[in-house]
Amino acid sequence: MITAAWICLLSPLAASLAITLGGTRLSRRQAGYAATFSVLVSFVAALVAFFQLLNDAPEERSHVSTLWTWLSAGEFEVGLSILVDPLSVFMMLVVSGVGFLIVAYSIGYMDGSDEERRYFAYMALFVFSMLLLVQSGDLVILLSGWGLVGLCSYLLIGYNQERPQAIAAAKKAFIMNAFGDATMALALFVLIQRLGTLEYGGVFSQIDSVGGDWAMSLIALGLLGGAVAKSAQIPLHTWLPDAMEGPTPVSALIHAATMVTAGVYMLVRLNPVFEQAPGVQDLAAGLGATTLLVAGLIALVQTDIKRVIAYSTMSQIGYMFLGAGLASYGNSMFHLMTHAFFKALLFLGAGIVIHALVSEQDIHRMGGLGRLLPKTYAAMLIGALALAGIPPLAGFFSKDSLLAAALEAGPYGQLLWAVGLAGTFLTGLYTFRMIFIVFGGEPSPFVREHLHRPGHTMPALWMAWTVGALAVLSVVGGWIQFAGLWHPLSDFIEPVAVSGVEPSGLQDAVTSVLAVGLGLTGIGIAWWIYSARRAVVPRFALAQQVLEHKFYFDELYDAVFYRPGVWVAHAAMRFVEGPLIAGSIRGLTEGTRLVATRVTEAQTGLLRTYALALGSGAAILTLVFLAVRA
Amino acid sequence: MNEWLTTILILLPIGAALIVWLLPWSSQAAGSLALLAALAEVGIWINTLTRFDFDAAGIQFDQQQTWFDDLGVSYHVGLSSFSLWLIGMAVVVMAAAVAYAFWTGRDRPRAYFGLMLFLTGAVVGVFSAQDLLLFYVFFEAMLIPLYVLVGVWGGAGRLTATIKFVIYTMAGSLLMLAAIVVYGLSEGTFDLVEGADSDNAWVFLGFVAAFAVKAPLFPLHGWLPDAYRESSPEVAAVLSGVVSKAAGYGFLAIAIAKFDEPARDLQPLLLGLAAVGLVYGSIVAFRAPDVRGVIAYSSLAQMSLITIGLFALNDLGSTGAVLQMVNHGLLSGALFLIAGVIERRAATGEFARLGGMARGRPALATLLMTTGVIALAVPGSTAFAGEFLILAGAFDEGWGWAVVGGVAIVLAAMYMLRLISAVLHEQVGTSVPDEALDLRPGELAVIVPLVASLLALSVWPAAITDHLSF
Amino acid sequence: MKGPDVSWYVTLSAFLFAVGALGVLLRRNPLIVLLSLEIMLNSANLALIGFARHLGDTAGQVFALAVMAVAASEVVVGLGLIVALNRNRIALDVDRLNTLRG
Repeated sequence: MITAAWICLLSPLAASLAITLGGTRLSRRQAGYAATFSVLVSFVAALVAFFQLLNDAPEERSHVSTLWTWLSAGEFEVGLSILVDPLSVFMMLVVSGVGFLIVAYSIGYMDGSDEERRYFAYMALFVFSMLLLVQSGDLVILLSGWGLVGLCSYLLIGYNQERPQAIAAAKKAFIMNAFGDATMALALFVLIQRLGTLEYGGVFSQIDSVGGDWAMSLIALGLLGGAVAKSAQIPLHTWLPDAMEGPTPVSALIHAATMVTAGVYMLVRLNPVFEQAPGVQDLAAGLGATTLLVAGLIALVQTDIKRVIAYSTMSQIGYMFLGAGLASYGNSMFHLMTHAFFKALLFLGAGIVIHALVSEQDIHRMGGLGRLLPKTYAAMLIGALALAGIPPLAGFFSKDSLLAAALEAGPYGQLLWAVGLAGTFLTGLYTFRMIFIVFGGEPSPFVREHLHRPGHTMPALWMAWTVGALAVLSVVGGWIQFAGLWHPLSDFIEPVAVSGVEPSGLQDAVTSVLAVGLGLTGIGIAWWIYSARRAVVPRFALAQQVLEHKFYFDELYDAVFYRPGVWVAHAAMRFVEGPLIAGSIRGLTEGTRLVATRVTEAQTGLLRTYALALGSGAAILTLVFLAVRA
Repeated sequence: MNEWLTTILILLPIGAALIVWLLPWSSQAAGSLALLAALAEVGIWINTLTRFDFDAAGIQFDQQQTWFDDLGVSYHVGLSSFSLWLIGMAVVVMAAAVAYAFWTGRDRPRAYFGLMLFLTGAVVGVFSAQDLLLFYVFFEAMLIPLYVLVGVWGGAGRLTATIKFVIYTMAGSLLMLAAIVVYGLSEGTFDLVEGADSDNAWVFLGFVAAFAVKAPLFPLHGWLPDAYRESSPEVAAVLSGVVSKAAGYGFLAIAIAKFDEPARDLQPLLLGLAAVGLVYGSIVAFRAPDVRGVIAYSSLAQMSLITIGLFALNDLGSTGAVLQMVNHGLLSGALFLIAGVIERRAATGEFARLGGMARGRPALATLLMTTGVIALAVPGSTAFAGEFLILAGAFDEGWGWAVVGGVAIVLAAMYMLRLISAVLHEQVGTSVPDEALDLRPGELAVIVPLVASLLALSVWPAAITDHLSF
Repeated sequence: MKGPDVSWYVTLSAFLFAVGALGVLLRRNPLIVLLSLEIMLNSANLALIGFARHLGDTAGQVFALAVMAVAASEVVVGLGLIVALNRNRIALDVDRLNTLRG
């Protein structure tokens, strides 16, 4: 099982290195195959590890393997170790499984791009980094995976390196994540100081001896900072919509299915730490609730098809944060998985649309695609229904049980429950706004002019079968767990993260009815406005402006951080570096020269002045000696 | 044999320098001989590494000959574990610099390569001297070739750059000489192994002044921007990669090792200066208008960070600092050489006229990207490992230092990404000719080993941290 | 002890020294400056001999003889320089010989 886990981790790295070093000796297509195959190997290895783990008794399903000491200083030691337990195996399956489908889809989507090799090398490197993140057995290795996925995200967002917007978006994503990395590192420093180890087992067993409320809160807050940045939760969320500059499969893999859910994984993985700081846990849930609402609202006015889905991703991760913050770990992970399926499906479907329309992403220029691309429409519809939580699709099972758990979690939980229900209404509304605008009605002039239908070429087939597979998963993915009746997934995760809340059957039923009802209402209103066109789009100038400016977060950060930062840098250049540092040495030379000029004036060249100076000097000395002697 | 190893490491390049100077070689022959000597030096270092006993404490391969008896001065050289690693970094970077100069070609090659070899010997001497007066001799011997290398083979503003460099380093060196004399006379010996701890804060400050200029620390970095911009790329690589580490080594082996009490008393002052330098260097690097400016000021920030690690005065900090010194040597070396490569193609390092160099030049793009992201300490890299230990150590001395370090991590990401994008991405710059080639085999042969060592260290930073004792 | 008291000799010596010093400082002709210098040296000799007699120690007289020897060689060099100046038609004025001005 350990061997399988290592193979799972290292296979994509090997592919990435091979593609980089191979260079032009590999054809572009071969690079794609190599990357896809390596991720498939990972998935198979993860399956092997999974079945081997099932053979163990539930309480013995935790295995650590250390290759070598990665870092050490005095007593402090970090092993390059992986942890194989239910949670990591579950994540390995999700990452390598969904990852395999998306990388395979890329073979079609990226076909003809002249830097395919670079793309696949990055993608394979990303899968490796993500697996490192979920398999790590030590917080430093976790942070390493954390940073490396951020790096890959940067590389892939900026894949179109001639586009200034892409490069700017890539830098923004990296820097906001670097901020998260920094707060995480600070949390780790506190842990080192208090516990002297960062290995999971050691940390979890001693965490109650950290002592000092503030230290514990600081640790949890620092870790939460990392999670919030990586998962694009408020207030560190502004990078995610911009990240849509990357190729669509990248958005599907990194910015929907895997990397952005790493924050949720961390909340669950480090639950013994967070449970020591309940205030911070509540904060996580609150941030999740805020994000799901805010992102849902902003999604209502977005016109870029990928940005609509991106805001929806933020919103759905908000649900997962809500669940993880309220200690409903199993349900959070369940939603993470189903979300990976249907969100990847939506992105990849959108990718087909964008591909067919020669890179057009504005939904208002689309329309009537339902008749022209019926299979894509069907797939997108499945994804959208799953997202809106309509039974019997995947989203229904995971989202409803997650919300039901919130209802059980005291008054604070009930408040968040209400917010979550409001979110389901918004989800139905914005999702189907997009669906109806893009696929409903008659084909728009733009579509008629530019559409080129995917034929039965090799690339198109790669794209088609992967989307089909994800569509099937989006339907059946939720059936592995149903509220109080049938919950193998939560049981599987149980040894790692004991859920703190168990909703009653009544709570489940009430939540489901309300959530589905609200979701359907949202869909209905979207149909009323955008499909049936019985009502004009309501106009609220102020609200619309606020939403279109995404609640002015970008403007705020620009004014509070970027501008003052630039100003300080300018000031440092202008007032310190110039006058003080370069000036000091210039002043020194000038001073020396000035003194020298003055001193040379004493050298008159007149014999008689010298004689006088000599004489008077001798006389003064004599007087001094006399005086001293006296 | 063993006790001669250190001496051989010092004398081999100096001997080769004399041969290059004295015999009438052709420029090809002089370059080849210099490269051969530099590579032989690397070979001897690897040999030393395999013989070194990391379990034993103290100085190894030491050799002592009385120099003048009445003052207790001797030729005493030997290797501690951290000087071994620093020497390794130094000889590798020096070999890369010599190879780069050989590949590019320099005027008056015999003088040039002789000076580079002499410099190598002097640097190794600095890292292995166990007698203060000997240390001073090597420290000065290291500066003399540098004055010439910057002043003769530099760019248009080389004279100003050299004068600044001379004035700053002279001032520092003289203070150190005074400190050495006072220490030696009061202890009765100049030997670093035998000499006792001193609690004289003034003597401590004398040493600190010299090293603070050499590192440099804020606000003593006035010589840095000019020297790094005006010298030829490989000399800048050596200056920021190797020579600045003499300061870190001096802090560790003399200022901290021999002045325990003053170091503790003045710890807040030094940490404060370093913290200011760290943030200041990062901020200025973010606004620097050219490639070398960014690398120069990032060097200021990095040396400040290393100083923070050293003056955390605990295991975490000093281990991290030694690791980071090796990292930064390799990084700075690689970055300056890549800057040279870029300047050779575009005839400028100004960001306003660069851009879009990634397209069609995969080797350049990959190497710059790899070096750049390691330099900004992306988690998982060896630079991250070093910075992590340094800041963890600093956190033990007060949480504020680590917070400053955290801010600097974000700033480092900002300036490095700016450098990468300005060179590689977006529109093709006005100074970038379409026919500019990707890296040539010679350039690859110089830069790839540096980057490969960085990647190898990233896989196993404990190669160094596990093999250190203080 | 015969002759006047030592204070007379010292007074005379001081007077001669002052005359010589003033000559060095005020006159511009190098010949006169050299002459004044000789007066100063001889005033010193006078003081030396006066004290030697007063203390009954011959060391002072020996010292005076040495000074005379030095003075003689000095005159040789000085006069030689002045003659050389004159030959080169350089004005014999110490104020105009200021090439060493800084």
